[in-house]
Amino acid sequence: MLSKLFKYDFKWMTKVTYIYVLILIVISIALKIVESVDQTFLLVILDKILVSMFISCIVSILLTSSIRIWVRFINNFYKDESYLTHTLPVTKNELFNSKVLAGICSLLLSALVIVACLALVFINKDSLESLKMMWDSLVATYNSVFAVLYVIGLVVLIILEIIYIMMAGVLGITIGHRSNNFKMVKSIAVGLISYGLLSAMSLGVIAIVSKLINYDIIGNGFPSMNYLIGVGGAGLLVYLIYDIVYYIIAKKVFNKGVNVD
Amino acid sequence: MNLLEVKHLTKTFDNKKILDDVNLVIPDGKIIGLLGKNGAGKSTLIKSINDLLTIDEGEILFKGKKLGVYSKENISYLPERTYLDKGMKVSEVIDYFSEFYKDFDKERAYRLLKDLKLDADKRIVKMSKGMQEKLQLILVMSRDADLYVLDEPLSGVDPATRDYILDTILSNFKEGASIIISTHLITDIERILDEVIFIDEGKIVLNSSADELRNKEKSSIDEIFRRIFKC
Repeated sequence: MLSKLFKYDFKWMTKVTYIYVLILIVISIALKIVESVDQTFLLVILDKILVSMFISCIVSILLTSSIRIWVRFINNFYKDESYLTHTLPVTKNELFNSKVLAGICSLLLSALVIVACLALVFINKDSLESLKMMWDSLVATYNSVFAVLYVIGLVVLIILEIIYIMMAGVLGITIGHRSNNFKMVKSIAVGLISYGLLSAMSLGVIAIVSKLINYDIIGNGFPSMNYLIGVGGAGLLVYLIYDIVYYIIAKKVFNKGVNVD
Repeated sequence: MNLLEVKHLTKTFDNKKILDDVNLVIPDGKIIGLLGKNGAGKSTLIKSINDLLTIDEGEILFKGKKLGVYSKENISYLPERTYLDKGMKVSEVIDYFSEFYKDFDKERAYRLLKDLKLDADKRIVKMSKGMQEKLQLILVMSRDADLYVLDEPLSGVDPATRDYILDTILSNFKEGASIIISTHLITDIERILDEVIFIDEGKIVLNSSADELRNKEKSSIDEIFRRIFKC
């Protein structure tokens, strides 16, 4: 049943995003073409317009993806559609997990499309050369295994941060909709507080870890391996814990039952 | 074993008791009218039976089991709201029901669509509220459930369509199943009821066989209702 629920949730969450993704791909290709030919005055103006559209499209994709996940939670669990959702022969866990999984997949898909379009537009001979130089410096300073782990760690950290933003909203919605009045106001308040508070806390944790480990500069101006492992590890651990804790709390609250309008 | 048992059910909203120690037994094979004025607690009781509300006290058992996947597999519920995803087509909604409910009869659904002149390729967003309500009735009555719970199926519908809806209900429910119909339009459904439950201010004030009540009071259910709930 989880796969069936996931199919419908994912389809709904990504429905509008497809339009922005298509526009972004078209703009990316146009940008690539404009930037590859000799620049005239008109082409420079067109280039600036396309860059603005490119940025707006990226912002729209990120916003639409996040908002549609939260709207799906609200509509499906607490508004008119909830009369069908909660009478489907599935467990509450399946209902909740399907939406969380679909949300994560839709956000990751959006992120992947954005990265692909950024690569399409900005990767050329010069930028590739710069990237290669940075990579060589990393490998020379540490070693190739650590350099690979460092990049993977950064990617995982970004993914955990994205999930954290989504889960803060989900937590706000589930707690806010427990009450009978001012459900939306309470949802937004809880969501913002849970996001802001723990973001500040994570900065604090990372600052403490930075203090505990000496910031030694080694070759090429890079910090020591121990420092990167300590701070990066703390960041990864903190966001992983947040994601898990928010997921557990939101699911527990949801499993206690709903009061549909 | 009883089909459905409601034991000492209490539900409070903002310190007001909407359901107050409700006790109820629904047997197999009966058509039961849940009758009461607006705001008497009918919808709250029905929502509780369908696991749409948390309950403060008491319990609800379906065939002896607590509400959950099993009860949802066997209860077909028609809410008073239009609950379908507006972005879907009629045929997609039928596929959706068919995927989730083992007892859903797709052929019956398409036959009823034809009878009620609804287009399977039409998007829900383009349908009027009345058409959406008809579609929901088709979806609910295309299931072979043990219990059909219909919340105000006749409200906002003209008298001719009411008869059509009642006929659709009567000619499509599974043999041996029970139906709970909540309404305040008693005259329209009186002829089909086996039992009546009167609810007022969150309490069951009368629970009786429809024939026995009519014989005892020498008047129609509608007249008895008007007498009891006279303002």
